[in-house]
Amino acid sequence: MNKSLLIIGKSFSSKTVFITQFHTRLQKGKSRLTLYKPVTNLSAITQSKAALADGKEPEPTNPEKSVDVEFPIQFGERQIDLLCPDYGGEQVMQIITKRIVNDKWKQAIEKSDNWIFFVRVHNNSKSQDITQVTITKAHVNKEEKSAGNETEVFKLSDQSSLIELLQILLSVKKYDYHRQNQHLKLTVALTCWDELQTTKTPPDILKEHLPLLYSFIQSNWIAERINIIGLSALGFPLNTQENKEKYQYEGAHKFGFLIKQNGERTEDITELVAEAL
Amino acid sequence: MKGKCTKADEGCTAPHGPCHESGEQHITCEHWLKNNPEQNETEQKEENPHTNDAAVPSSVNWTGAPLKMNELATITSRGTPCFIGIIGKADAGKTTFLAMLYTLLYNGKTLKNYHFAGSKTIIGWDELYQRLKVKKNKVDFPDPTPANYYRLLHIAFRNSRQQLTDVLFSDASGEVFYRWSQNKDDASAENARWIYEYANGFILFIDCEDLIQRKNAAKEEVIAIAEMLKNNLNKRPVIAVWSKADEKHNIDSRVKNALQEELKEMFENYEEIDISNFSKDDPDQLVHKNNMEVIDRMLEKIDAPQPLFIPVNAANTGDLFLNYRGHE
Repeated sequence: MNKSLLIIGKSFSSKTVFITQFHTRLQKGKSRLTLYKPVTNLSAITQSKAALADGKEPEPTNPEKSVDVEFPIQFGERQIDLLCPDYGGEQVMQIITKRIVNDKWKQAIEKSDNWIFFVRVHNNSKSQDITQVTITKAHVNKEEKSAGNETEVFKLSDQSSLIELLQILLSVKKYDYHRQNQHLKLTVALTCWDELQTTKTPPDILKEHLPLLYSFIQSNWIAERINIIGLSALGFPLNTQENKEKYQYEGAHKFGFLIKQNGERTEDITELVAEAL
Repeated sequence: MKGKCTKADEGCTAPHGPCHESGEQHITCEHWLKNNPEQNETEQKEENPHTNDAAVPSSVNWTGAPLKMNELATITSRGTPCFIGIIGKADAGKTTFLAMLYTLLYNGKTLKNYHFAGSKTIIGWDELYQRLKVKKNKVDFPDPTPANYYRLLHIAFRNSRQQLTDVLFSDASGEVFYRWSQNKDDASAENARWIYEYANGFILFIDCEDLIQRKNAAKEEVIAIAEMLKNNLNKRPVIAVWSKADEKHNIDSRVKNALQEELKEMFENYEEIDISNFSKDDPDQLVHKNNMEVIDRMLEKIDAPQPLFIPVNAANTGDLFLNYRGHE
């Protein structure tokens, strides 16, 4: 049985780290999902695998790159050939800024009814606005707005760009807004969960950090087809010698965890794909 | 001067706002290019990450920018939208109100019965939102809307029964409403006439600061717009919004009371609400609650079922019982 999983995420949302760790766990055969035969082409994740083995964070995926990794997965009684396209996050940024979805992406969108949307909530810089702080008329900028900042370029804010990205992908999928999505399953993976240092559930965190995106998702999917999960593909940041050595001596597969929608923690990160299918 | 339009003295805010004359992007405007000859279209495309490459057609049928009148098919093709006309004089805070609406939604404030389900003009909304950000302890606020500029902003909402409602908000210059209030057929008030003809409901802006400064003169201008609004209203709802209401207590009570009384006489079921952009508390009634309440109330009124008058066949049947019509 073929099943296509679409992994969507802007640059630096840890997609490649997850795919690499996912493969390492599958290989070890001790997870909920395992491989029923070896992966034939690992070229998409070779470099990131080597980096993690050395206790380093992988380099961002080359924006031009689009390589499919096919995982022959044993999921209980079922054998599923899972197709995960790996691409530079920059390609996703171009979908938002240029509003162009290339043929490869179109096919992937049309083919897949299981999307994992990687979102790094605390990466989304949210400078304060006038509804969040008390300001007076003394704060009103009366200077000529063109003076000195004519080179300032408008850039869509993080939350708006995530919504627009989903809107564009849904448009390619020919989603009819009159009805909520009943077939397309959306799994939102809140990445680098360890850095949040929270005891809240993933849906609460999404609602707190990106409430308009949360509302967009709640409005356009039936509850049964939404899954919001916390993901720490690494377990901790590889920015100290001590943490790097853990990877170098114990192996990358020992680390990483998931927080399920209800707040339950599991060390088996293959569950993210099991939940998304 | 480089970085500014040659028409800057006449109110053109390019490159921060659209062209003063055409309402289009400034990069194609001859007045802009006179001061900025090196900024041809190609350079601008590279500079603006949200500009589509014309050589490669977009994969979607909307641009994310505010909609022109001839672009409404994007919305109308999936149903009849609810159109809210935002009416008022220049500098009354109409565009800032729209910026506040998106900013509040962006930060998690919600309407009572409607939930955000998307927008075909998210770039337009986001531009307004970014004008309300505090940068280096200063807030830009939206520029005055140029006289010829007229666009619509869109939000799709889903109600508690999961039904979709597309809502359009007008964003037009206050100057055209003033001209329209003086002469309904003014050649330059086309935008005001269009909004008046098609809107399902109106939000009438009353600028508290203007009433403080110009007193009765400002009041008479509000009344003139309200008179024109009343003219052919056909029971469409009107909500009067007192903007910059953190200063409302400074309006001379004679001016304020007279304006309120005249508006009450003009509009059946007159409703008003105070809003502000400057919060004193968190949450602040005028800022965090009332800006949302305006839309809550308007959607409730537009959504309310209209009384149904079934014509009764008054033909004389010759039967006293069947002919009985009550105590007429």
